[in-house]
Amino acid sequence: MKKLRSILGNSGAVLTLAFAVLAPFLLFGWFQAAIGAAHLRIDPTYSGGEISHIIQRENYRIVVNRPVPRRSPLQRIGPFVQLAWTPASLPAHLSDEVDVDGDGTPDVRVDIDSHNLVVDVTPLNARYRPMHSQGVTSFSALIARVKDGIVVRIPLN
Amino acid sequence: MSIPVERMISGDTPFCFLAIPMMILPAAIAGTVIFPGSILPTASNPHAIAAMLAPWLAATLVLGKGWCSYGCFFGGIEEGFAAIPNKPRIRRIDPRWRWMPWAVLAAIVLLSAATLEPVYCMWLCPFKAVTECPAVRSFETAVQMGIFITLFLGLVVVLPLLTKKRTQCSFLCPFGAFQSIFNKTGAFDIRLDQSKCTPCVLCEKSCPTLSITPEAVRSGKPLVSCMKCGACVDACVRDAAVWHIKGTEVGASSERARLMYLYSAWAFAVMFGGSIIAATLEKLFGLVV
Repeated sequence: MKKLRSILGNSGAVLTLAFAVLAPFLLFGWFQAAIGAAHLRIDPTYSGGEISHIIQRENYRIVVNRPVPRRSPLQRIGPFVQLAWTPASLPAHLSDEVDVDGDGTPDVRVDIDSHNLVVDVTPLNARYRPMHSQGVTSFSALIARVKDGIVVRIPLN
Repeated sequence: MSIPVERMISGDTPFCFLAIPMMILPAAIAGTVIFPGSILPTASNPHAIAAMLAPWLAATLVLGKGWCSYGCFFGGIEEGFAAIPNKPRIRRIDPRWRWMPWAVLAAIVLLSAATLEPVYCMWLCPFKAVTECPAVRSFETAVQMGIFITLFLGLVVVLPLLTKKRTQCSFLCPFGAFQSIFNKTGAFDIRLDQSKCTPCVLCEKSCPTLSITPEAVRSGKPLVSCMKCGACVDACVRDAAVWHIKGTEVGASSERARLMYLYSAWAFAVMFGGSIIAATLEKLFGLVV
């Protein structure tokens, strides 16, 4: 029994060394692929949630995401919906009535000063909360330049 | 150095392994990762979650808590400060402090699952003071920054200078406590050969994480918090503290065990630290030229 344990221990040690040497060349790629295949996704608080639909305007488009609800009673970040105007080369001032839920009627009017990154949101539907924001107030109420667009997060009731 | 919310939203936040214990419950329950960034590497974020989880997973399976000695670049900062004084000013440390990282681990895992926020990263991580901290734009972020700087100065600078120990690792780091669990999975450990031990307590004094106690010496094994740095092996003048391959006789093949473990550990250290060292040298070179 003692000898068997010794053989197993030494075998484990040799395998460990082989594992350590091979890891950067082979195993990292395999582990990375396995983690990628685990269907994990970034929490919607950070990612903004999944895309619901895209509204095409003449010179730009509005990417409307699905609403992100509060998922835990202790969660500090309230529910919100994310809209993104792309590309970032927008007119200095723009005013849009946006159909967020895709029912054919506008839900919010959004006025954006794209140079100073100031947004005014007027709800046309009780589900959405009014917002006047310059920059980032919180994760659930903000206007920010992100990559090639301007992201606005509107808090929900 | 600071990470604005815009960068968090865009998925360009580099992943930090300290968030791993907090991610597990929400990922298991809801399939979501409560950390900004991206799952797979992108051109704008090479340090994505999968890219960082893969080396951590491989290193943890091989090294167990040895990750803290050979993989954790944060630990190197306090190791550096602890190495400055010749002798410690504070010698007596209440052993109950050893439980603190476990308490912090339990608290942050539960709180993170309840609030769906990486609580430790947002409120307690001392290394936010010198790495990717939130941009100070509100009272809340100012308070967070104050906590990060206070903890950094206290646990990473002042206390290591006074005690010659890795005090942040010993008294706060929940990731270190989490890694301790994996000390059971590796093929190597440190043993204290009682047939050679006097005991002179040199090993106890040299241990940077307070993992060697009189009881541990009597049992022949350091505590589970041992990060396999080998400080006790270097300190022991009677070769009683030795590297050991599990399953084999203590002291029978300690030199072989030492070489095999250190080759494995250094393979990871070079792989993990190599790109960081190269990037640092490039930045320093850029400052000079």
